[in-house]
Amino acid sequence: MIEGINLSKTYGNKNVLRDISLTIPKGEFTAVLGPNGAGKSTLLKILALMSKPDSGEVKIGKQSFVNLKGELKRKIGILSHSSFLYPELTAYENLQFYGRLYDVRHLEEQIISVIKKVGLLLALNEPVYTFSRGMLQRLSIARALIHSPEVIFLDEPFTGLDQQGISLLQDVLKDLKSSQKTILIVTHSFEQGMEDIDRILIINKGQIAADFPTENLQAGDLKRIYVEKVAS
Amino acid sequence: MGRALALITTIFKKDLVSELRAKESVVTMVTFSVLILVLFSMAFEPSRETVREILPGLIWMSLIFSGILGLNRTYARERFNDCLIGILSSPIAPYHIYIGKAASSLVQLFIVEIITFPLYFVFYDLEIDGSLGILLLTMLLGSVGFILVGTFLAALTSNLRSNDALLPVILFPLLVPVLLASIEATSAIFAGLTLNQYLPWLKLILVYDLVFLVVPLLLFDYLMEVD
Repeated sequence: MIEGINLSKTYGNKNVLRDISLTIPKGEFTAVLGPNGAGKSTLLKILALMSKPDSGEVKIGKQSFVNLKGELKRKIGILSHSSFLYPELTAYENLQFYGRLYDVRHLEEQIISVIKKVGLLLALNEPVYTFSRGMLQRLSIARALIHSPEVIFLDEPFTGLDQQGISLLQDVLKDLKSSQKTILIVTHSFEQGMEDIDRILIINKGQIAADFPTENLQAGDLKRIYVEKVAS
Repeated sequence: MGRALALITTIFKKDLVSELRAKESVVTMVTFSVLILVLFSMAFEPSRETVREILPGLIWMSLIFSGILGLNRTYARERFNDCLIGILSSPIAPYHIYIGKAASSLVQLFIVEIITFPLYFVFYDLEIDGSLGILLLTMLLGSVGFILVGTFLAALTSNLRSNDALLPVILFPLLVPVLLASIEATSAIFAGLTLNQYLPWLKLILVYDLVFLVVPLLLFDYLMEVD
């Protein structure tokens, strides 16, 4: 479970997040939608312990990040539109590097397991600068999963992906959901990756404008609600 | 302690392997350093006495200038693909990054020193009256001080526009104590003075090294917060 309690963040004079509280239960797949500058990515950075809120607290499980930041980070995997990969290193060396940062046990086996999952076994020893955009994103997925995180944060993960990459990412998300991982995806796309989502949060002007489950949502409802909430 | 050392080593190895593959910093640093010493010898043709007087300053200045070229690359590599965010989202303490990067930059500077230092003997007919061992110790301590403060300030400027130009501007004033002490100690060793005559300079370099090991460790957390 992830819990954000009264989170606020200001950049200069701009209140990016205003006293946001939310709870994401274990195993839930939540999407955060909102227009550009609404505070989605800031919320993700704070929940992923990459940025400190000006006020408020983040808890993962029952642990607060205040004293256990390092331990909590072990539970988190992040997939962004940036790959976080080093072009001069091979796919194997990149995964080994991140695996060592997370102190992954049986790292060799884990590297082979995640690289097979993303279909890049044959490119394992190729330098990353030779990879296409789609291959980079696949390797990013492997990087984000190298330490078997309990919670996965995805920041606009479909940006720049070709159709094959989108399908692969959707399969990985299905797989993660079926293994009861908690997933939070930040996106402004209504089409990609929405099939398996349990709950939608719409953020506007640094506040939660809407928070609803997807189970009874009809086609077109989401767009209508989004326009209503963002326009207001 | 073992875990901290493992993380520092991981950052150190990654930086060094990346650099040895890309050959961006070391090649530029060596070329720049060699160019300075060649151009200087062609421009002035100094006498042996003048060499003794000016060479310590020339050696250190060329090292510092070429070192800055390398320091500017240290974090540029991390900004590419937002790799620094990837590192910071792992359970690593920012000081592990600082020490790992400083160690890697130090090794790169040593490579430059190993290649260029013998060339000073060739181009300037240099003779050392003092102990070569103490000279190497001075080079080591001075280089450590420069890299420690440089790695810290390179992190500070890496997010800013024109960081390549800004780094030397804020680095040089802070380098004055270690640069002055290193030049004075090197001059004394070249002249064959006794250890007691330049020991205060070596002590000053050592204190500087310790200060710039501890201060960044205290401040690096704030520098590395991702906003």
